Amino acid sequence: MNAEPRTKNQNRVLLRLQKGSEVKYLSHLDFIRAFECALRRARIPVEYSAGFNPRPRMSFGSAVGVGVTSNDERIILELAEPMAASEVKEALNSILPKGIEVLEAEALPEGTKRIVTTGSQFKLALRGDSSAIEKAAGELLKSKEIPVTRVRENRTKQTDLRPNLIEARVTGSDGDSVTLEIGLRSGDSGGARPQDFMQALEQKVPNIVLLSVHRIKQL
Amino acid sequence: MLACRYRRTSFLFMGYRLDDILPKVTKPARYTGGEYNAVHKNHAHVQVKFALAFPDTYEIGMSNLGIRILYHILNKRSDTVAERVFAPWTDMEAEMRAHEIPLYALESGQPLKDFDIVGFSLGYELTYTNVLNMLDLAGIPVLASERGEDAPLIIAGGCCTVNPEPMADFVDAFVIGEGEEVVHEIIEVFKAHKGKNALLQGLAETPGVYVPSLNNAVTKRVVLDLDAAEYPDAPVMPFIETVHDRIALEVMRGCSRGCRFCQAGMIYRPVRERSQEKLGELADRLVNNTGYDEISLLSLSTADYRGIEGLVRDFIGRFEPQRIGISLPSLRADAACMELASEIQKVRKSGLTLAPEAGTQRLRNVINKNVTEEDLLGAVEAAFRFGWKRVKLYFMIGLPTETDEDIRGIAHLAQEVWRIGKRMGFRPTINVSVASFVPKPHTPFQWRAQDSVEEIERKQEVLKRALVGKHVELSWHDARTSQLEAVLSRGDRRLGKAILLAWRGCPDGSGCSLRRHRFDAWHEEFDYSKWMQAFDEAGIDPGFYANRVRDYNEVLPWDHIDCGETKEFLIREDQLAESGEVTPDCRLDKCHSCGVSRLVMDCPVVKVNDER
Repeated sequence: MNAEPRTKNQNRVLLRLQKGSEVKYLSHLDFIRAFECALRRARIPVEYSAGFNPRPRMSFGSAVGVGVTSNDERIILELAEPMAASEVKEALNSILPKGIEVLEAEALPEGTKRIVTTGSQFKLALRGDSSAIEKAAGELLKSKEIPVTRVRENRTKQTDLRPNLIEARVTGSDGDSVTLEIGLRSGDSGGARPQDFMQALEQKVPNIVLLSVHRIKQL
Repeated sequence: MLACRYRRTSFLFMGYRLDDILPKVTKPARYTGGEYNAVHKNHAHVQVKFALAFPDTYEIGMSNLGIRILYHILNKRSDTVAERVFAPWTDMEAEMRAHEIPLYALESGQPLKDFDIVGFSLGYELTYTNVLNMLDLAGIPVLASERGEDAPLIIAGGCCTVNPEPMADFVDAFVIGEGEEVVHEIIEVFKAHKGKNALLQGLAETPGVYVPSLNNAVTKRVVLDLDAAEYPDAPVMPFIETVHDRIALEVMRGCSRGCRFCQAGMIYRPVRERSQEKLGELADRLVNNTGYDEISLLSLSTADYRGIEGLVRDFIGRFEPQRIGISLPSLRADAACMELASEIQKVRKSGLTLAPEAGTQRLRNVINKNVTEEDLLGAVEAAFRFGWKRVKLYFMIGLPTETDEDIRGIAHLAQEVWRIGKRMGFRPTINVSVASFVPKPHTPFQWRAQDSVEEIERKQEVLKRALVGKHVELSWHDARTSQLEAVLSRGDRRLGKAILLAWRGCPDGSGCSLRRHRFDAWHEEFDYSKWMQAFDEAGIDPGFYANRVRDYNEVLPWDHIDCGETKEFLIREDQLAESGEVTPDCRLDKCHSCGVSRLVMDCPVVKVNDER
């Protein structure tokens, strides 16, 4: 037997998952539940928390909203016994529901505490006038302040989008279909969400329709 | 959720622009399908397309064992596809109607209208209006008489069909009893039929199938050998949390306790058990195929499974290392049962639920709930010793022969439970939940009157006063909901008109809103006055069905449905109730000649008694 006591950060695997269009209407909690059941089906030797209601030990990066697809949902799994990251990926992908897929898995070096990201890059598919959208995006990046309103449980709050807007550029257009990539900061101060950006954009270009939102990667 | 509008040509299905509406509704994952273990078949490769319809929300329907069983059985057939459809919540319904999206099945997205057979599960009378609403949302005429050759065959099963008459206007054929075997016969009749009349005739000739337009007498279907019966070992894994979000392992069917108010206990006779070996095999497969962390040992009275202790210990030994908990949904109130439950609760700690049903021994004898105060308090003491701190007690009010003394008995019993905790040095949390008694068809109380709404509400007040300062939390069922349940459960064919009116709403200009009625089982959607208006317009007195004592000689609307028990047995039980005499469990005592042995050549109960 190994005499050395297991340190807390051994046997940890970082997973990058896809949330496809088939499952985009799952809430973050539903996504986690689906993933937990998959862990047990795949018989991944995951570490469990103590107490009356033991749960698999995992931690998550920031979650995308309901209706948003993503190529970068991150989960750190704590394993009770060693298992190669590639095996974890393969075992999970054979039993995950359609639309959820492990894209990458890597063993985490000891000492990594949790998933640290500063923001996300999103791809927005829009319908509207591409030159007007391109112009508006440029203006937003140049402005000093972008006031947006957030409604939460009947309370409205004014916030400034500008410090959290990293980039916004049109990456493609075909007729009135426009693809826009934006970078948004997240963080303790609240960060920004794609709908904040859309609000600001719609103030400048009234007739646009949002077709889909996709997270390309976390930053 | 993004507040912005989505516009995409299709989300998943058929070119309905669900991306336009799903972001606007609550719990959109109810409507997208694609769950793990869902079965997708090419419709071009099957002969029969069968929609399993549940007239309530996804969360409730996905918890239904009957639907799971039939989904499994039908999809195992290479000539049939079975898909699921649930009642969309009111917000989704409004969006679907606004966008002209017909009700669709979750697997393929095909409109319900394109299926050959739509089978509704009727487990609760207050879902009847949802059946009509779902048909309407699908663009299928709600009245059977208005459906032509091209409309799907509309059938229904589930425990409510033991009195099919209230829904006879809307359903082409009812399955009475257990579906595992008869569903195959229905598929065969369907495949062979030529024309709707011939189809209905063929169905009426199938044992266990009632065709209201042909008025055939029917005997319920019973699956005798549960080990040989098909059981779903890879159920669809819901994406959103459902009511019973765990492995459901049915250990036993039927109950031999003979509680006189209990319809399930009467209509699911005889008692049949799955063997321990079979259960172990199923549990292994279910664990592997689902990834759930809890196995619920399901039945009407799981503690009465012979060898329950061995089964539970075997399961604990086998599954605890995998961190899979075992749960018993129904506990018998005795100390031995508590000890068993306490072993299970090593994995999961939850509240304890007991159902004394009535507050005094006299009334418990009347309803044949064979549990004494001593048993109950002994069970509670044991449970507290094993670490439980919360107890939930279920009671009914409005039971036959009940007096205010019986009502105050509920408060007394709850107080005794509290005192036990106090003596043991802590303050237990005690919840008392009080339902109103609803007399049901095929039970010894089928001739009894239900208390009026006013009387039930008066009794609720009596109980509330008796519980003042008693450290007990009280919750109760709405008396008016229970009255509607009583009307619908013992109704006849005339009720169809009222159900139709209640669902459709009032005609324009009559002074009431056009709001359609559905989700009556949901407190926030239930509208009693609308129902009373519908009864009034249909010329129906709800009191005639709910609050009237019937004569033993009266022809009852469900007399042509044979569920096993003879009228002689039910009358005898009702008379014993009147005199407060109990009838012991037939598996422990002797055969009480309920009549079910007429249906099954060798009643397992009779056999067990013979062996002894």
